[in-house]
Amino acid sequence: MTPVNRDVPALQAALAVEHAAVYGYGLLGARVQGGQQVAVANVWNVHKARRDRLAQLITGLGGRPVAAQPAYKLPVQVTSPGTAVQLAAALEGSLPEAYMGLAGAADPSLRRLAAQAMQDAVTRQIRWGGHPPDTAFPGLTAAELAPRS
Amino acid sequence: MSPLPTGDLSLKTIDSQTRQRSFEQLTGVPYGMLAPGRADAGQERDPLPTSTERLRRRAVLGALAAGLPVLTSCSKDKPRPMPTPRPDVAVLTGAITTEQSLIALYGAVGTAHPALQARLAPLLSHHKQHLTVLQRHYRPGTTTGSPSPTPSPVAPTLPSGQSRALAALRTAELQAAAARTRDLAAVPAGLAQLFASISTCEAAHAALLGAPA
Repeated sequence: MTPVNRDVPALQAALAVEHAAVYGYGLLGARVQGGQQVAVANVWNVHKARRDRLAQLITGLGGRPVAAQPAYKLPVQVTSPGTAVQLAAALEGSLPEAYMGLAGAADPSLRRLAAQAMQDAVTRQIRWGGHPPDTAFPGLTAAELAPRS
Repeated sequence: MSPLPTGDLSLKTIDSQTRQRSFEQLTGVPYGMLAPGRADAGQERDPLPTSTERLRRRAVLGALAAGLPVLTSCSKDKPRPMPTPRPDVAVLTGAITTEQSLIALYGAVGTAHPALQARLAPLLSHHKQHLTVLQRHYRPGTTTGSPSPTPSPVAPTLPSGQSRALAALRTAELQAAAARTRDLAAVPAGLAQLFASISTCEAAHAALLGAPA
């Protein structure tokens, strides 16, 4: 059995959430209007490219990329252009935590890829009108920061 | 005493337990359970570490803590084989300086434009938290000293006008995020995760500062 590179699990965690983002943007893209259609299409392509890049990296390191689920339970029910944009912001908000493992990868280039993806995600989250991360340490949850009782 | 297990500071695998270990190395606080409903929630393991894992974490934390003051404390002991100075000491100092400069800049903008203070307060608070955690790394275990941030005395020069002051803050945030991203290769895995988180916070600040009030 070929040993799998130790960075593969972190790549898989990021890929799993990029799959969900690609699914979510595909769904919400049908609901937005006007200029936002172009913006959503552009971001959708960004996530597809990240998904493909992560899968390629996993394969290159001897892993088998996790497959997309047939459907995802999304945090916002899309019923209007407004809720579509809310979903876009929520999807971006889920990314920093998913990339956090990769930010501690053995390969420095993967750390940079993760940090860039996290920075891009919060930037888009705010541009979609989402609430900025309510923490000084995005990607690390509030529970993680709570003092030991 | 055996040599510092420097190589072991990197993450072996990035499952939740490893993140936990890495996070606790950084902050000295326990890593809680991840929020439910995440895509990887099914892979989460028991958030409570076993006692063996606690010991291992402490050992690693000890190694990290012992490694940091090497530059100042080792020059006296000639006969000892000199541990290699860790490159992350300088990197950590740089990160601390960046946060101090940002805090000073926010202070200067707030003084010059009191109307902006309410908008800037949460962002300034984030930087003070960054500084606190970074300083905890630099001098691990020194809980008696005042942890209050002491911004560098350099008075930042501000462009005149509110919108230019905001633009200066935005630029400083983007530069800080870029610097921490560049530093990722030079630090142990746990510190890299902290830098990634801080850089993400700074990118968010830049986006907020670029948005209309």
